[in-house]
Amino acid sequence: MEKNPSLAPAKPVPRKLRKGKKLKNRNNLAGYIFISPWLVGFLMFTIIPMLWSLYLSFTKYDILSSPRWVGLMNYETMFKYDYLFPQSLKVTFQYAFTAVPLRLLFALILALLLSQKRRGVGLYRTLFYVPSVFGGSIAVAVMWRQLFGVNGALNSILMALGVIEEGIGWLTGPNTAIWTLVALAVWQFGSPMLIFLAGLKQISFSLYEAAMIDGASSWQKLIYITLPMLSPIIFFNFLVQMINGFMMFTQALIITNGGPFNRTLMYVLYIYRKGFTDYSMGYASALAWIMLVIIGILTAIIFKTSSYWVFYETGEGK
Amino acid sequence: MEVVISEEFRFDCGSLNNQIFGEVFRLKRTILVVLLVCMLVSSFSLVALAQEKIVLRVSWWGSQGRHDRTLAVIELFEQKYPHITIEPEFAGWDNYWERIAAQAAGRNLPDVFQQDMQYLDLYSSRNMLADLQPYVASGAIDTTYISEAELSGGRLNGKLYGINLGSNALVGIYDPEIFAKAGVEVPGPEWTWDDYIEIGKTIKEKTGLYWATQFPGNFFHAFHHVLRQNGYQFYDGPKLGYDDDKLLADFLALELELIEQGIFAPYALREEVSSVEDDLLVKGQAATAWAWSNQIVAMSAAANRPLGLITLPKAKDQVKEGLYIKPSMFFSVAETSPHKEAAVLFIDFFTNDIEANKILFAERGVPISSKVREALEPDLTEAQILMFDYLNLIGDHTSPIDPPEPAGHPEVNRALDDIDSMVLHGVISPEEGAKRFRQEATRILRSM
Repeated sequence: MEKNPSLAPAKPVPRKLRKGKKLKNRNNLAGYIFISPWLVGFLMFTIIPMLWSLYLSFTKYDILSSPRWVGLMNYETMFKYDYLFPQSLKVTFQYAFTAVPLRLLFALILALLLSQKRRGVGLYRTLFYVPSVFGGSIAVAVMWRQLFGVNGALNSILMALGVIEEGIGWLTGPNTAIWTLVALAVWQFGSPMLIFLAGLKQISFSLYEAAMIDGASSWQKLIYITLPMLSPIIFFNFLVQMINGFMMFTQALIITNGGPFNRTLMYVLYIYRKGFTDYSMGYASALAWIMLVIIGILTAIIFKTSSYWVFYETGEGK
Repeated sequence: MEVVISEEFRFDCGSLNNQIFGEVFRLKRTILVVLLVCMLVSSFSLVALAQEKIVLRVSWWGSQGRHDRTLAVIELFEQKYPHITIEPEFAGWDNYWERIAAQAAGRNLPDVFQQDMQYLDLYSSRNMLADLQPYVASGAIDTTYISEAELSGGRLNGKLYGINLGSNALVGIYDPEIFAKAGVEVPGPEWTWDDYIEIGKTIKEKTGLYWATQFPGNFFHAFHHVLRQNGYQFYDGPKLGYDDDKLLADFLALELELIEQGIFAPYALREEVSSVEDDLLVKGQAATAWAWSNQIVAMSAAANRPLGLITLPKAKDQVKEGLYIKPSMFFSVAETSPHKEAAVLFIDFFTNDIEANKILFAERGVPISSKVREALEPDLTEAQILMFDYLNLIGDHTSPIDPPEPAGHPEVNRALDDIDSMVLHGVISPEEGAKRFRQEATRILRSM
């Protein structure tokens, strides 16, 4: 990509006096002091704990006694013996690769509808955003459990309509449980929807005008103008939501707690269990590092493929 | 202005230096010495005071009712022993164990903390718990009215790591009205598993209600009961204590059959029971509920109608009694505690003091001291009388408790639940389930 001139680094200021250099150093120092609250927090609460957990991943650590170095044993157990490790990965991938595209699709469709200039559209935008305000909360998770319970609202409606005769255990059914979680995720399409809305507003009207003059149908306008122009936003949303999807925890803990027989055992839930229920902090750390690697690889893949489907107006075709 | 002041100051200093300094210094020295002596004396007395004043940290898990009762007892204790101040720490079950783990990691455990059977091995093997046997021997913990059977649950490897706070046993809670409607006689303590299935069938046929939500306790406790009846323990040290997988396979198959016939509630319904209030017995959908004996109090409150208690079924030609009396929870003393005497004093008060136990009111299970039990009897509620009577009744139908579960137990228990639900969903056969459980449990226990 060609460098944007305004983003190129400023040419070094010619050295006039030693005092000038001193001043620059002083300025740097002031800069560091200004960012020090963040810097200290970043070191204390991110970098050091991360390195510590990397160390712990090579130890056996039950919290109660000091960590004992075991080399690669945790990783060996994970890949050779622990059937819950592949199971939790499978569940997490299944969740992320269904919930995220569905959520984005919903968000996009609603954004397209709500970007039209109609009366009361502001109210609708707010209403559709509301679920994601408290979507991640415990209260909603508890409500979800009630909704999909054997004697819950969904079954009552289905029974009243005569679709089913007996209540279905959605949350305890091995093939239905995960879909209740996916449904909850899709319902929280608010924040990607807002980002899509902002992106739609950025698309120049002149493009549509030109298309109209050429007699393009609204479908063609969507396919050949809106989607390509929106693709950087789709890319951004996809990436962020994907990472979020892999970190899913609260809902799985509250709604299904991993059950039935680990069909909804999200990876992060498994890490939590290992660390805090089974007191295997070393193993939990190893699991966390594998998650980091997986998310890293996935992000790299998404970035690599982006050049094939993301259109940047400024860059001359990448 | 500033300039003037500083000049005056300089002048003052100069004159001090030259003339009066010597005298003032001498005076000052006298004052200093007097002050120093005063300070030394007062600090010594402060140290002496501090030595008398002990701050004891006491921690427990429980519900609001337990918090209120325990706090009231702490107040009573502080009145009786004014030199000890107690700092209470309390939480619900889950948060409690996360906090205790963090405190243990920081070598900062509370002096006295509530302990559960399944963590006793883990914490004692990491040298976190003080041995209380010397205090029992010296009489600091008075055991005049406490039988050895009540204490033995806290013993491990020849040491006493916790004092039992109340006794519990598995129990069947039944609705007499449903039994009458089905024309079924309430079974006595000699009934067997065959009777259990037979009565279940009759109840289902006559009333259309479920016999039970699931096996007594939960799958683990029920299977443990069966193992004991066959002369096995669930664990033998850090490995499984039985070698015949057919026992588990048969038990799984029986459960599957009972659910298919509608004698047990379906899996989905069972999984939604998360508290006493939504138990199927309470809601009038099942004839029995199977729980720990101290839960009868909460359950009759929730059901708001008379309920009765029955024992767990015996096995035909059983090797020994499956039922046992279990400590509901313990108080342990941290090995790191600097105030072990005071800690033991508190535990003794909690266990033996009549006034204290009138406040605690058997909320943690039936008190272990026979004197306390007698003192409480006149005030007991109907449900509590049932609980006390039940524990008296089963005395002849129990065998000693097994040693505490090994460190990996929570994980093994979860594996058993997973396999149970896989079998119930037809993913694997009962035989496969039994085999797979052995593999999993062995792997988990070996990794501890």
